Amino acid sequence: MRALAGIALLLALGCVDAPRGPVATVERYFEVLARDPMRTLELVTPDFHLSHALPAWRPEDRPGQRAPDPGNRPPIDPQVAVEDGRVGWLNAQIPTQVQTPLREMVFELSEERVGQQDALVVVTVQPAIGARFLQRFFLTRNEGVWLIDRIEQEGPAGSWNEMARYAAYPNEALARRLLDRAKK
Amino acid sequence: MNLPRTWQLAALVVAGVALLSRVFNAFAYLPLRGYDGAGHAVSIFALYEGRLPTPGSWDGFQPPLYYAVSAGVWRILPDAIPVHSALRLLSLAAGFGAVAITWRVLRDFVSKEDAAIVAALVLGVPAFALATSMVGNETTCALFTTAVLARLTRIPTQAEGSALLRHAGGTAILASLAAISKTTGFGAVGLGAATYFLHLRRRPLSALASAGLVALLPVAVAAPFFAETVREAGGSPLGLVTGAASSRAVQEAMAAQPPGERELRDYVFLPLATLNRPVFRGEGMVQSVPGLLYASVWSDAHAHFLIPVTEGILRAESVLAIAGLLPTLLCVFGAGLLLRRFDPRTLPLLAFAGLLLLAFFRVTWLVPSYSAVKASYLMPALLPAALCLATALDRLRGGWQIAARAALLAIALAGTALTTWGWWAR
Repeated sequence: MRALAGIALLLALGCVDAPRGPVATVERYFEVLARDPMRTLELVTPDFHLSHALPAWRPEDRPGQRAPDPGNRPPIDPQVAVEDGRVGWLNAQIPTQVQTPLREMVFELSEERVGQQDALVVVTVQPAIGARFLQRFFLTRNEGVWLIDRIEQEGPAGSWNEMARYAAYPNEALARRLLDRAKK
Repeated sequence: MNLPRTWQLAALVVAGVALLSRVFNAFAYLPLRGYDGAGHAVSIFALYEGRLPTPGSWDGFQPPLYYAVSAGVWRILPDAIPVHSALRLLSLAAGFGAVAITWRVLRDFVSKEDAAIVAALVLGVPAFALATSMVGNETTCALFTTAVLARLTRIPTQAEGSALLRHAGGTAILASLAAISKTTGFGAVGLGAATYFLHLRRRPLSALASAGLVALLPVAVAAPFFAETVREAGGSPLGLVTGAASSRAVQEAMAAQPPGERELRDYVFLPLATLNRPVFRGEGMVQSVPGLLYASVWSDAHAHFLIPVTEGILRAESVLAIAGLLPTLLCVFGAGLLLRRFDPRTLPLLAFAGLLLLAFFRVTWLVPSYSAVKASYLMPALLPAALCLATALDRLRGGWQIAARAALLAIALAGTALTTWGWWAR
């Protein structure tokens, strides 16, 4: 019994992470993105899921489905909107089109500005195909833990780059552009 | 050569191959791909953060036990193991646990060889293989429901009052766990109580006490959650079985799916595609409830695993769908045999399977979307289905029996091969 309690304590201690700084949070983001999608949920704020704006589902995911009528939709509870955003965020990480470019990317820290409650981390991303681009992570500190609140990207447009940029930060604006491009 | 042992050994090898395949799938299959993988993950994350899933979210209508256990697993998981892989191993453990119980019960009714062969076959049926390769609460519910049904075959009717109550108490705990794993598990509660009552009807006090315990404990455990879920769904009891009643996102996703409306002919019409293109895109498949149900037992009818759907994959699925006719027909034959025997130990199991099937058809009528027609929803009826098949197999003699046993093991292996991730890409 005591041995079991000891093992349980060791496991419990083992799973308590040391607090991560802003850069370590961003590093962890790239480590787990699309490889271990559930762990990305721990790294971001609820508001992050409103900023990427990925829907919980889209008709294009399945052939033969019709888009919902946009008219007369009742307002959605803000907490439900965050949860739907989490579903969309996780779904966006499933396709191999996201996983493959991520495996071949090189990331380099370009800039780090850390305040008391906010931080900015800028990473240069070099995809295997396409030009390099910048990815800016805006972080906030919540109860001592640094969380990603918003991501912005800057770099040249173009089909290869947009796929790579989407892989590094899945979001609805890029998803729409890629879908429109695929339709053409 | 000891032939009975040879059959059991062969079944063990087939089971071992299925286990290896599922462990491989847990790590190789695309993260969170599967039935509502992301929806389940978000509910698990809620429990991981120490709160209940948000009502109105994608899977917020589902009872919390599976999510709580998964959150616990996540808490103690080393960083090197992806969370979704560990949770798939949890599905695997629960599913294989359900089959282990099934195997043990079958040995009470048929030969050890037939019990082992049928258990091995279940492990290779694509519906089961996919459920044990995905993140989801289907297998947890199947585990506890199977455990309840197993106990119903062994009610100690001659035992003293206290021993009887202990037995009923154990069943009540398992029924509670089934009910808070997934709503379909609640079926085991009503049936369990009715079975105790009918078995003990000559001892009215014991009958009432046992049936009351089996009915009331799960209700007390699950009622707060279910009451909230029904309230969230605007008073609709449909909120207990589908997120379409409470989540706008699910509602819109379901409403966008064909066929959009159900007709009575959908329940009797069986298109040829059931066997030669057993996926939802096959001609007439989204309309046919029995066709899509059969296809989702014997292939990946909803195209969540065998992707992208190519002609090669369709051919492989078609071969297994045709092969699946043998166990399916044997199962129907076995159900007939069991009904004729009128054995009080097996009747509750058949009643449970029948009620679950009726409830399933009702839901497919109320939610006319092809994704509502999935065999995995019927997984709690794993034990009754296996018992029917084993009874038929046990009835066969001589060369027919040998041929059927060998065919079932071959089908199990083929099912496992079909549902091993990535074979089509090599």
